[in-house]
Amino acid sequence: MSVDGSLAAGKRYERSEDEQRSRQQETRQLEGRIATILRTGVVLAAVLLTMALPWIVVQDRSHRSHRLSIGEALRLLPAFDPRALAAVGVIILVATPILQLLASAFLFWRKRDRLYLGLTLLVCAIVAAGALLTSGGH
Amino acid sequence: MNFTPGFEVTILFGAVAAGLLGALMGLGGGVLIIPMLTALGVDIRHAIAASIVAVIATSCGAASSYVRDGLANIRIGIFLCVATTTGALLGAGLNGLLPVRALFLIFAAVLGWSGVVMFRKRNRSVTRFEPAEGAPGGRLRLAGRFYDPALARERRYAPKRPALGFGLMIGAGTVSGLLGIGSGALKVPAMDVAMDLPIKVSTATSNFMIGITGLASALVYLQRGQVMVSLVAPIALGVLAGATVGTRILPKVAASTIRSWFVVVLAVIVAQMLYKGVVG
Repeated sequence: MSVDGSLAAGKRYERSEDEQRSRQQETRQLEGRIATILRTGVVLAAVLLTMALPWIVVQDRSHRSHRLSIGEALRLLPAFDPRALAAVGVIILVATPILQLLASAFLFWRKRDRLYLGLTLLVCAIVAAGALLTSGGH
Repeated sequence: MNFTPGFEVTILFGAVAAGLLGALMGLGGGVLIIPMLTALGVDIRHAIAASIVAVIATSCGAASSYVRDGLANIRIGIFLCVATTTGALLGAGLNGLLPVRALFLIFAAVLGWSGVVMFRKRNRSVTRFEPAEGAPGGRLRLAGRFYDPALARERRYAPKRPALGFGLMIGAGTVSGLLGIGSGALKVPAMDVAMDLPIKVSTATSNFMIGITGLASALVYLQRGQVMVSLVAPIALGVLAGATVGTRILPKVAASTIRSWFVVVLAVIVAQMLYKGVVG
């Protein structure tokens, strides 16, 4: 721990204060970008779902027993079915954390933080492994 | 399934309430949505799949504000996400294997435990040990700082016992994948109690992680065809609306107030889930 501390102090001495400040600013900016990605994905999905919702309510009342999964609804996209629109919204929602992960990886890459870049990529790999394993099972 | 007219409208409003409370308590809101949907006669497996998508929506919405305000600690979030995503895959796999009654009982047990932990600590003071300026927070560099409007100053923090936190997060991730909840109910205590992080940082970081954890299991549920459009649309929308409001309120609410609400809400749901698990 004390070795860690003195190493950090040495590094701090080498790096000018200006450099540190601009780095901190960059981190803040990149964090801001992650926030923007999250917000954009969610807003886009919300718009699609809001557009589709009234139609879903009406359609579902006419044939209640017929409930569609996302995959089935996506196949109705060429017919401009509102349920397909909602399905696209759901896909965008699910894709948003993927972008969140990629943006975090970029943030750590810019900060030259290898440990956390590695950890972020490891999380991506775990998520991908799950998706691939399930599709393999069907 | 026999739904009453206005079913979608009912769940839309229920979802707004769930999102609002969820954001205030660091939950994805799934914990409140699933009991509501099953009470309305929805198959618990469909409820779980719809909930996990809504949970992603809430957590991404909330996380965007927390990341911008510097409340969420991205390093802690990514570190613990290694554990939660691993658990999530395990849980989503188990979901297809366990009987429905077991799902209800596990749900009740998980929430009961969270409630007990939070209740014990509800009166803990917000002032506690603060690490020295420039403390590295161990080899993982997990230390951070945030501005606390309730104290009107910046607070530093350095997490303790990251290994214990990591282990608990595997469990939290499993529960998240299994029950379609963000399992903020487990993530927040794991960070707050085990790692001794300030509750607001725990809440914000939990939201950062829930979307990523949910992603892991949502992909599994999507491929299984378990996510139903007519359930997901009103739920995701309602939760989003509620969460947006909740996130605005959170920085202004005292930490002990958040804890007390959390406990009351959990007690009600635990009773309901236990009943369903035992009586069927």
